[in-house]
Amino acid sequence: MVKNYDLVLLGGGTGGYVAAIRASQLGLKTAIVEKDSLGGTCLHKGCIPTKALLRSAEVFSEIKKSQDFGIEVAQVALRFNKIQERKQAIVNQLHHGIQQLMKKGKIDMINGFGRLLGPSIFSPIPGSISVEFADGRENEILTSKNVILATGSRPRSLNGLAVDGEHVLTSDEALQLQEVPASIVIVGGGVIGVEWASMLADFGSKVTILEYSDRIIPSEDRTLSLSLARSFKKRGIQMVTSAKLLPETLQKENQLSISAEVDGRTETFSAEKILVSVGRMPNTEDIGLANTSIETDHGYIKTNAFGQTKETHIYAIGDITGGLQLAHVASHEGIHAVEHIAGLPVEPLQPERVPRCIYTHPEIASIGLTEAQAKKDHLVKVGKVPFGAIGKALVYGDSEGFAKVIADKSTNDVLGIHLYGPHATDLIGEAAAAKLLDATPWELSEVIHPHPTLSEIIGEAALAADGRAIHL
Amino acid sequence: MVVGEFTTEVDTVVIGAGPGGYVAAIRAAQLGQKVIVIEKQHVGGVCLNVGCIPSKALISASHRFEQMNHSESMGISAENVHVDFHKVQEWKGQIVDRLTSGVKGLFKAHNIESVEGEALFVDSDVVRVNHGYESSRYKFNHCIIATGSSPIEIPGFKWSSRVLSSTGALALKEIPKKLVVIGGGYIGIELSSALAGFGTEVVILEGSPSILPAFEKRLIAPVKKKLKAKGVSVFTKALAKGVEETANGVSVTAEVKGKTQTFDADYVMVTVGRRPNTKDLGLDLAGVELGERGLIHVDKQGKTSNDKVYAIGDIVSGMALAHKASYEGKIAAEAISGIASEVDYRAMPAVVFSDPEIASVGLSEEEAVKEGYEVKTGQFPFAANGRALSLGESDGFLKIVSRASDGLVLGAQIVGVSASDMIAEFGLAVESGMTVEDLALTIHAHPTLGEIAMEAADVVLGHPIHIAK
Ligand SMILES: Cc1cc2nc3c(=O)[nH]c(=O)nc-3n(C[C@H](O)[C@H](O)[C@H](O)COP(=O)(O)OP(=O)(O)OC[C@H]3O[C@@H](n4cnc5c(N)ncnc54)[C@H](O)[C@@H]3O)c2cc1C
Ligand SMILES: Cc1cc2nc3c(=O)[nH]c(=O)nc-3n(C[C@H](O)[C@H](O)[C@H](O)COP(=O)(O)OP(=O)(O)OC[C@H]3O[C@@H](n4cnc5c(N)ncnc54)[C@H](O)[C@@H]3O)c2cc1C
Repeated sequence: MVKNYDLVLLGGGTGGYVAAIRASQLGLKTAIVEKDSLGGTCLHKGCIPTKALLRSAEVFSEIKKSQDFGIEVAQVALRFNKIQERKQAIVNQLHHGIQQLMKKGKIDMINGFGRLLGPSIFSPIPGSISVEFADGRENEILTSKNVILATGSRPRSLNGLAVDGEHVLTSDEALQLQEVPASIVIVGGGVIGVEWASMLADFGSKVTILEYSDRIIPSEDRTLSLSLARSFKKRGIQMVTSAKLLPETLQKENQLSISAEVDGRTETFSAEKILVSVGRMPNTEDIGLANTSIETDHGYIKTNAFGQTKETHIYAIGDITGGLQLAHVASHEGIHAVEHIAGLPVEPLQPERVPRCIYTHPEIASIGLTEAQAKKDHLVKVGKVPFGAIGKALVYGDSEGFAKVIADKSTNDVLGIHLYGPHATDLIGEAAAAKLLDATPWELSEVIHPHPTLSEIIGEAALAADGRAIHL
Repeated sequence: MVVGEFTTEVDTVVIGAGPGGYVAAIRAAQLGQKVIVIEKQHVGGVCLNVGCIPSKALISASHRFEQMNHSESMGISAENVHVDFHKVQEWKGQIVDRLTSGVKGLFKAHNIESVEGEALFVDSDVVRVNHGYESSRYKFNHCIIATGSSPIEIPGFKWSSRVLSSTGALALKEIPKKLVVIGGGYIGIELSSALAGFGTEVVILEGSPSILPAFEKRLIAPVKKKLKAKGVSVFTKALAKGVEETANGVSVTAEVKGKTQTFDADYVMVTVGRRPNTKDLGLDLAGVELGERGLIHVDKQGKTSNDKVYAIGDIVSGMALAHKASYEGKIAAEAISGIASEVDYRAMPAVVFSDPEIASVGLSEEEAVKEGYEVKTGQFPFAANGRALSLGESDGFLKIVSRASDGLVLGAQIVGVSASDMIAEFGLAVESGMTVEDLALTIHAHPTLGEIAMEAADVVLGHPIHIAK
């Protein structure tokens, strides 16, 4: 069977489904090919389920600290199955919502595995899609004026360290844990690794992070890495940096044990489970790229600023294009690609305008350049204010952390904003708007932040960058 | 003149060390002035000692307590949760102490002299400070008055150990079993909500047809729903007539929709508004004219009818809010230092720390229409936001009011979790003249509450992603 569309999306993750909705708004006849569930990694194996679990972890640790407030509790216990049920209920609710949106947008949902075809009887140019179904019925062929590839990514595994789903896990399996492991070694201290570390430590696991680089979250500003490490240490999380894992040393007996080379010595770590969080791989091997002239780099699809591949009618968005692998990047790239297809003016996505959030405790949210990056091309001025100087943080009972505003000394442009502390992820919205405006610290300090709120820290840090702090 | 009284000459005298006064003092010192601050009671003013900070501390503790009682849904069982109110109050006191000593430290760091005592004008450029039996005089180039406000006492309700102002309520030694609250403005609602969270049975008597009458009806609905769930009863069009103190409580009489009713309780709290502290300042001797309701009339820089004297905060017209006081303080400090700053209230936010929170900035739809704008609005519910769901707090919505012709953001109103922090982005938007398109183009991280702002902007533009038309 052959069906014709204006636009077909290969992959219904964050990037794909958002692009489909935008396409339907613009009147394009649209279909999504999705092999698993609409919503993709983010909804089923990423952002949403982890944040739901992290919320339970946060409440659990807050309750344990409630004596500080004068609230006493005889006994606190985790009901991990309930925590998992709550997580699943949230995922289901959002999944249902997306399905409704597809129906309302009259977007065709095709539940199968899609691959690009080369020039064929269906079309003289590459880009028709052949969909294979799990039940073995005959493939469907979709022809379309435009295609957007949005097949996302999957956990990267380490050579020699096979993921068995029981002892050695990736985030995919960790999300299905039925109980809290007594101990865990987390290989990789990037965003996903530190979120799991924070969560499992709150739930009572003994956590060890092995990180190859010389600090955890190595792509973020150094002060964020160091502060998070300090906080983790206080919570009993062991961190071993500059650690080169030796996968072949894995032994499974009562416990798992695995060794790493640290400072020229070999150290051995044991735990009930190992979580491998060493990055993600693009899902591009088996989608028929060879039938086209689309180019890749280490598996990531090469595109221009509008998302067009070498085959200009085929676009690629989200995790398969490399760069910042974030849900909001995928969705914005999706919208941009569709608008470009529809002939609307599009301003390409600028990485300095993309906020980055980490839902550890304390939270981290940042945008723009780190101090080290900024110093490469700019003479900078920096304002840094602790949450301890903000009344609302004290009142909230959680005042660990700071805000840091980095600006160019001569042009006064804000180059980066880094937040570490309570509700950092709620506060980054204002920073993102400021980056869009190319605001100066002065403009940020002119914003009247209501009192007493956590948002006051942004105004205060902006003042500090100009050497005019009031509360410092 | 008192014998031995001594006159000191200074650049700037600030009267009152609340959020208006202390910020004005610091800013003036930054700009090179020799400043003294005179405070008759506690550095930090109402806000730090008996206002914003202690009230939010109680709200925060109460919120934690409720969270613990409802943590079952999060997969956490907490047994035998109870409040040690004495400790709650102690904790609250520690925060207040830490912040007020912080302000004192800032005075030192900026070489600001802090003088204890009550100030009054004796001339157009001289104040006298009385402290105990002693007094001293200061001759100034400029003076900034920041004496703040006090709770209004209404006829028939004389303050006592059972008839409380907000200050009295914040200092309670026990959690009342029953409390009658007169006045459903933001202070009344915040404290009612906090105490109800701790288990107090609260009755609110509000004279007008709705609580929080300053806000749009739809914004209040989620707050009303939550109050009800906490067992708070609200009587509107209720006029409090009088109170009788009984052996261990009060009996309040009120006329509710024309019928007389009595309400028995342990305490009654009266939060019907505040009046400016401008009576005993000797303003006539300074040549500072008063306007209506005892407020001091000022120009856009805060200057009074006396060129040397400025006034800021709760004693001038406008919303009685701490950040407004601080803002005016900065402007006045800059004005007396020769910087041509002027106030602009367009982007002045207002927050109610109710449950859920309410926050607004700029114009409401009604205000915008009244000002002659043709408006276009957009709303987005918290329930369609992944972060709100994962927090387990999905009540509420965000509304943007924009100018129809070009999408200029005129204002925004939010009711929902963390509304108080989310409003900052709209403060920036109104302040810097952003359009809804700018907000829609701003990349908001996923999954954050900030995405609600972006989606509401998309609603205005006619193409939201996560709700269907
Ligand atoms: C544990 C974890 C936590 C995360 N937390 C966050 C966070 O807090 N914030 C954030 O911004 N990002 C987060 N991310 C990253 C985020 O999930 C991704 O950046 C985002 O999902 C990328 O979207 P996408 O559309 O490119 O791909 P995906 O969401 O991966 O979607 C791709 C879809 O394509 C389908 N597919 C693949 N191949 C085919 C095929 N051949 N035929 C049909 N369908 C196919 C897949 O089944 C999948 O549904 C997290 C990721 C993980 C793993
Ligand atoms: C319960 C409650 C909760 C509140 N919550 C909030 C909130 O969440 N957010 C918000 O923005 N606002 C809030 N407010 C309002 C806020 O506290 C005031 O708007 C703010 O404190 C006003 O600042 P100010 O500097 O004008 O005066 P004040 O803070 O009132 O300070 C005036 C100071 O002047 C001193 N003084 C007076 N007369 C003299 C004199 N003759 N000589 C020397 N000193 C003198 C007083 O002792 C006082 O310390 C709240 C108020 C209350 C009562």
